[in-house]
Parts: sequence; C-alpha cells; structure tokens
Amino acid sequence: MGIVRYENLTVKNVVNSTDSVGEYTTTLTDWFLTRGLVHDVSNTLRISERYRAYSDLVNITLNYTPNTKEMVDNQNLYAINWRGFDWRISDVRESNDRMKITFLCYRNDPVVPV
Amino acid sequence: MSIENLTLAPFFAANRNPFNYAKIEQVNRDLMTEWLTLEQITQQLNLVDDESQDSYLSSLELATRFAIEDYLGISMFSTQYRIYYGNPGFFSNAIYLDLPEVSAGYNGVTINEVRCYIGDPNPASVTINQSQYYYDPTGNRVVVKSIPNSISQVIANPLQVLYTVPANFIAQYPIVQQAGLLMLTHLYNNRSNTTETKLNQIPFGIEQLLRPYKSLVM
Repeated sequence: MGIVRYENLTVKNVVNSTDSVGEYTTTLTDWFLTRGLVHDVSNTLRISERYRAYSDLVNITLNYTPNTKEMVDNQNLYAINWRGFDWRISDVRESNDRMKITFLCYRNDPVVPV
Repeated sequence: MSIENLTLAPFFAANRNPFNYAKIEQVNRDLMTEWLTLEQITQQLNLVDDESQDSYLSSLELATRFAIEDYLGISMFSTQYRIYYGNPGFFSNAIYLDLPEVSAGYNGVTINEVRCYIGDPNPASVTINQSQYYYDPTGNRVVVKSIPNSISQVIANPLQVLYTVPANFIAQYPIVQQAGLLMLTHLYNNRSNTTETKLNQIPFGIEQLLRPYKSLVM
C-alpha cells in the first residue's frame, strides 16, 4: 500500500455582493487551513471556434467536523483553495458513519483564445 | 539478598518482594494540563487549523494520557497517592513502608504525610511527626524510625502514607508522544466499542514504542 498523501487546503468564505456600479462581486477570505485527500476526477476541454475553455473536477475528502458540516449545509458560501486555485463546491457526500465528507469541486480556467 | 534479612519480613525486609502495602489509592491526578498539544494533535489528524473540534480533541488527549500513564505506570504530571499498611506487629522499631512501583521515578517523591491510627477501642488517626520518618529514594520506601506503641490493634490498615509523585521526564520523549498520537488517532477514528470489520494492529505500534519505557511491575 502506498503512502496516502494528504494535501494542504485552505477553506475560504465566499461573499457575493454588488459593488457601487452594480456589478456582481465575489470576495474570498481565508477561513481555516486543513489537510485532505484530493483525487482528480476529470479535466475537460471545450473548444469553440474562437475559444477553448478548460474545466476541472476534483474530489476532496475531509474529516467530518463541525466546520466541514457547516460547509455541507451552506455549500455556496465556501470555496476550497488547492494548488493555488479556488475550487467551488458542486456536490457533497457524507459518509454514513459521519467520519468523512467528500466534496466534489469544480473550477473553470479562464477561457483562452484558440 | 541474604535470607537473614527477611527475619522480620515483610516490614524489615531488605528487598521489595513482596511489597508490604495493603492497598493503593490514587487521590489526586492532574486533569487539566495538556500533554500532547492541540498543535500536535491537529497536525496528526490532518485538521491543521480546523479548530471546531478542539474541546473534543482535548478530552481525547486526556483519555490518551491516562491510558499511557496507566500502561507505563508513570505519572506524566504530578499525581498523589495514599497507601495503606497493616499493623507490623511491633512498635518502637524502625519499619520500612514500601511505595508502589508507580512512584518509582528519577526525582523521587514528596512524602506529604504519614498517619497512624492509635488508641483502642476508639482509634483516631494522628499524623506522625516529620522528624520520625524519611524517604529512602534508593529503595523507594519510607523509613519510619519509630511507630507509636499505642498503634491500633483493631484497624485493618492503621498506617497510611500520603505522597506525591512529580512529573516524569519520560513524558517528553518524542517516542512516547508518538505512541500517544497513535492511540489518539485510534480513538478519534474508532468512536464505537464495536466494529463490523476486524481491526489489525500496525507493526511498530503503541506497545512496541512504549515497551522500553514500561517498568517491570511484579
């Protein structure tokens, strides 16, 4: 059996608001550092005539704690920073022994010209 | 050890086997001081700065420390015991009162008081003057120079020693702390007394880490 590698993660608060000129803003602020198991799920690429868009999907498994339960209950309010990128939560799976929580997280790269 | 020394055994015996105490009571134990720090624990459990379980982790830490203290027979922090001894059957002589192995330690112990029940038929517990006894760290026992001739003949265990064991420096050994973290992880991951699957111990686990530090208790 190989070594299980836990990776450094930062859980961030997400605040959505509107700025003075009426544009929607998303502000991320650090909540806590933790470590979890991260599995790549898929990287997809969509190519249109002028642009290519990358989107990534990962599984992040954390211990079940009051903080991570809060993330489950309010998935829209939290993001997870891994390898320097912010990942938003798409789905969660709580294990039925309430010991682990798996977050399915996605991230879109900025579209780049073809 | 020559057999002649056992003439007045067990109270005058030069060895400690058998011990001459009748009963051990733990009367005070540190329930507050942190042995494994929350920083060590949250690193071990990969929680890092997730502080939402800190009070639960602290209670696990306390249980872990107690389990390892009891397993090793050492006090990681100051602990107080009261030991009871039967009537030696003689008086006006020096007697040795063995302290149990839990008190063996590099710093010795502090004898808080030695008490004796005197005066039948209504015995009362009195404190023996400090000048009448001393602690022998080499034998881990209290030498009472002379016990009162009015020592009770009816009380089951008329002699008592109250003493305090200081913190043991073994508690700071990284290997002992690592054993503590292994046990804490086990308690954290297994919160039920039963499992559906068989659990296996890892090689070089808690028992092997602690074995060199466990004193042989007869």
